[in-house]
Amino acid sequence: MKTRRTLVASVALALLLALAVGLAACGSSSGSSSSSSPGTGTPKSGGTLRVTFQGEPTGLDPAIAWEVESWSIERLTYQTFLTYADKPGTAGTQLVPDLAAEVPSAANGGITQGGKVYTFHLKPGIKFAPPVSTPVTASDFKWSFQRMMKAPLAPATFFYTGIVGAQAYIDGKASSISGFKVVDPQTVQITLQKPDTSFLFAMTMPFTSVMSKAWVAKVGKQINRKPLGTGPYTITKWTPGQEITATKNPNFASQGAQGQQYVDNMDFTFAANPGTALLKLERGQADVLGDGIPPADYLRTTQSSQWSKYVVNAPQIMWFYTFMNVLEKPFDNVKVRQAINYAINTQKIQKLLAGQAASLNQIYPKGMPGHQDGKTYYTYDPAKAKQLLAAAGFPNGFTTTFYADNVDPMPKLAQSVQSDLAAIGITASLKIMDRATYWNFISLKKSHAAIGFSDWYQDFPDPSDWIGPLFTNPIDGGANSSFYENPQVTALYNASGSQLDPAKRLQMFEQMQDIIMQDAPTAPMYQAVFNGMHGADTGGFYVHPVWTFNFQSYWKTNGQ
Amino acid sequence: MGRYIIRRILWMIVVLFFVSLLTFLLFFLGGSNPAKAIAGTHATPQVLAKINEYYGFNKPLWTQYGLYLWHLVHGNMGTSYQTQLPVATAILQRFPATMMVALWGIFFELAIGIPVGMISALKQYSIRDRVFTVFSLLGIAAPSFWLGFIFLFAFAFKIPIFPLGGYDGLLHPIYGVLPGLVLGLGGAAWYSRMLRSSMLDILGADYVKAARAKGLPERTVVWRHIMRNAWSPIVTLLGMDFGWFLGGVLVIEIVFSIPGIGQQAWNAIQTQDRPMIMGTVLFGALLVTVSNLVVDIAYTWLDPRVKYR
Repeated sequence: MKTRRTLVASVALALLLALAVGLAACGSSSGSSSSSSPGTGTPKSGGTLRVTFQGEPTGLDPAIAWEVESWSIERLTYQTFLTYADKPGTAGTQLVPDLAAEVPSAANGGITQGGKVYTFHLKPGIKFAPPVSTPVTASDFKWSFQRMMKAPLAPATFFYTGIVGAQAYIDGKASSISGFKVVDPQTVQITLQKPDTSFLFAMTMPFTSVMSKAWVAKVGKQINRKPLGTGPYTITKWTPGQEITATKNPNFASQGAQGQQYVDNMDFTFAANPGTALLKLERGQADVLGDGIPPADYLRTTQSSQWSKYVVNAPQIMWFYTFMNVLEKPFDNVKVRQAINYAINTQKIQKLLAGQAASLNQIYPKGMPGHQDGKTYYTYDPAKAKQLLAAAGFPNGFTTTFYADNVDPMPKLAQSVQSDLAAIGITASLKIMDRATYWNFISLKKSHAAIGFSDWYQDFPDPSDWIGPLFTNPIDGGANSSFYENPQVTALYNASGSQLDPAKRLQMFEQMQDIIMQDAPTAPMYQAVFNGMHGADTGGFYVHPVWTFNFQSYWKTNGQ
Repeated sequence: MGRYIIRRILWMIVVLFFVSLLTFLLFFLGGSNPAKAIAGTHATPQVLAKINEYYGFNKPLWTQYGLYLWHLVHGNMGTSYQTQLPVATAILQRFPATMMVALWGIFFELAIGIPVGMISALKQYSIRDRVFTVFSLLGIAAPSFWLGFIFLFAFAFKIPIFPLGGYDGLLHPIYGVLPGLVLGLGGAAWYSRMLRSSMLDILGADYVKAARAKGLPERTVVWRHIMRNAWSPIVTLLGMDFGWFLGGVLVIEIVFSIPGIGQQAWNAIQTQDRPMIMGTVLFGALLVTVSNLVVDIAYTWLDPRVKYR
């Protein structure tokens, strides 16, 4: 009796499995045929671009929102003085004017007093979208900027506290920001306390978007759900949790150059499971995967002759690294930190992350100015690592705790590093923490987190965004988890703020990298690669190095 | 009966109070920093201090909990840290999607579970009983994310009968069929096993033999004498399931891209959105306690021997 039942059960199970495998196998031969290749072809107008995202924007108030989903949708509606070239790769990190007539420079008189004063001229004829439709003036910029600086939940005011009078305004000691001057209706002049050549990059961030005072007054608290700006599209409908619909802004046409308006409508669907979204794309029901290809489907997709041509891989301007806390023994010893740099097998890690990681042996990732192709400071060399440990007084290694958060791929990479460390005699016990707890934990001195993982995504493509937060000013609660400080680096960093010659400035940042890699407070591990994918009927798709998506630049080849 | 219900409702309030207290304490035991979750890892300590001040995170724990309770008894569940939406609004916006899946889930549980259980019990050890047994065990054992993907692949991708996940309002119930089926299959397996065993117990009872001996038609024996007594465990299960389903079944919502309460709660947990977490947990607890009460009341109607004082 018993055996017969087991037999029936196993036969049924085998049948079900065969069905599942069979279905999966025929998956690669289905879907509609293709007619375009990425980034080429003639742009076409009309149709609806359908984008899937798992996450929903938390809100579209430019003063507050700060995630990929929010920014890529928010930027359809809101614009700033400056932005980045509408191109893939390193070319896309070039500053270009958005609402400004030109990018301020010393040559055109936009940057004066050695990098302290920045003048922006507004393009003529800019209007807010309907139903406001009023002309945009310099006062609108000042009003929007001050609104952002005063917003209680604004997360990024620190990029702008270098402006004269900004802190006083935040603290309520001044009624306006004295360093943000409206010279005439078309001109804004911003004065900084000290020269900072990276300031132009801060002016590309959506936090500095121009808003309509009248519209904000009209919609009140609803402004984070009902955005209105000057950009190519307007948000016409937002069904919470489900979708956002955007349509062309008729007032945009007069702006010219930056940003296009190919499709008539855009449809963003949320709560979309990335695996199911890929099936939708293959069925022709979605055009762009907002979250990219799910890791589990990467090999299947890139090995399929039908679908691989719609995959667009782009290195992200970010780095994943191991931090070593220079305040904690034995990582206060530079030889120990260098030994760790030699001990970690980064090639093994790239294999673990098949297709989603590019090698990185320096602190600046590819795409970031200052990155030098092929530059390597440490190569995997356990023997050398052991020598350095012995020289540091640890011939038999030591015991430590290695910290990581619980979001894939951190736990599996932590195991890989754990075994690398074991190979040179270091016994590391792993402490895997919940993500929200983790980032707070490693930022505090009292946690005594000696070694662990961290990552940093660009705020803007300039090496100052790496050196400033990660390698200077080791304060509690900041991002410098190594608590590293070197007077030489700090001096160079401060001096770079007033270096107006881009080439010389870059040299300074290369020099800072040399010093940091010698001091080894961090061990670079890899740079993430975004596995983007678009549908068969989508034209002009590319992955932007800063924004990830520039939806206004994509079109539908079938015009539908 | 009236006094019984009032007593139960008072107990519900006590349960909800302890649920809220536990959730609140767990939130703090984790050692997280909600300001950091709000402003992101790039924010400076000054920005975090401003947010701490704004939301009162720097106040003592008991003051924060007291304030929360004070607002709660005044009908204010707070505002989400992430979306700035009132928590009650956010939950009600997501509830219809969850409810649609739950209703389909219950439908499939009963529509599959009851006939299968009955046939298995009445034709014990027949081929049908054995086949059903195997599929029941598979239904219990199969992980729903796996089954979900298989169904999506088969019935939405290869043979496009159903949409490839998503939700388009209560007026388009077709979006709930596949997720409801996956949800229901797992449950149906339990229901059929439960019904089978409770019916088998009853089948041997004297009053069933007596009914048969009287020469009552089999249909009357089954429906009036067997089923009437076999319902109780099913109703208990149903009550628990309904409360649980309405609280949002995360795996199903994620696989089928359903923007329901489960996904919202999951996002809230990941971003340390305390008002949202508290709100969802309390809402879920309320649903479970209410459906339990409804089940207990239903017993009196199903089985006249049950009386509450």
